Amino acid sequence: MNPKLRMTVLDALAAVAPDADLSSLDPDAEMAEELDLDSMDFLNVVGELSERLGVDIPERDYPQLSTLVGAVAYLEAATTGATA
Amino acid sequence: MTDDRTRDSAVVSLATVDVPDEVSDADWAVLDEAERHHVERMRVPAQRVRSAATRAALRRLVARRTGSDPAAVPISRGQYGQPTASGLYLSAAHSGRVGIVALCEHVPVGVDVECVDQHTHEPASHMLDRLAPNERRLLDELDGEERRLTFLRIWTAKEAVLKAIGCGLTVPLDAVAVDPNPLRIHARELDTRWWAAKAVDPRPGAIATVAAASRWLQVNRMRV
Repeated sequence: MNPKLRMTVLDALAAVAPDADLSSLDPDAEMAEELDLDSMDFLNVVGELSERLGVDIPERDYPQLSTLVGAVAYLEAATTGATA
Repeated sequence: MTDDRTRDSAVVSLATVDVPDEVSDADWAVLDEAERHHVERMRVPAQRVRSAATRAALRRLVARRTGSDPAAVPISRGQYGQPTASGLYLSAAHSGRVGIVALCEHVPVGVDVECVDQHTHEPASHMLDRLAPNERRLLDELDGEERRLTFLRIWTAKEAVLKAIGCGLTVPLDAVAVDPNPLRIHARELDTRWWAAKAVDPRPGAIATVAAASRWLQVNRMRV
């Protein structure tokens, strides 16, 4: 997992859910359930990531961002121009 | 109600739940093994309580309709978590200390709730950018609390429709356009059925909206 992008995702999560304990987040678990994110929180995380990384994240790709591992892989592909 | 409205009206049974401080024995007793496992995996204690209370309420609502034991209701879930049981259309939502559950026999139903005290900031700009033009125009004319409450009405109505369709957040948010006053839904490009919605706020400080694939909507409030 790309450490820089992992930190970017964790920072975005912390910005949206400042009370969440991110220290032991299971990288393969659904982040919404692990961290008590509702749909609006999730969209805010997507917005943070889009803004921080300058990438457009279309709605159809949201399921790929449901876990930490998935989000990092998606963003790595998106920021390097590869097909996510 | 006219004869046309009676014929084209969806009847939704709806119940709200005051989420307790901790998971009650009564709620835990009606959940099945998969639901208990799901709840136990949650890392935020308040979320475990919300989820258990709302899932138990949904079981009780179905059990009242079918005359069965709440623990024996065969709830299954779709790709994005939308529940169903015994051929009934179901939906559930929770926020803060409020849970809300809905049931409809004949057409898809969705419900969403947001507690106002969890949304004290202005809606994020990236969120506003995703709204339909009529929604942005309306919000541009408002400010302060009225703007935040109107945004939450629009949001819960969109969520309710998307949950009823069962597509989650995989479609553009502006595919469902909401006129909040009076509450009207425009989603014909996404789903050609009629959509009706109604404000069902369970208490002051909680904004809730129910939507069903029907021209009109009748809500029967239940206690579970």
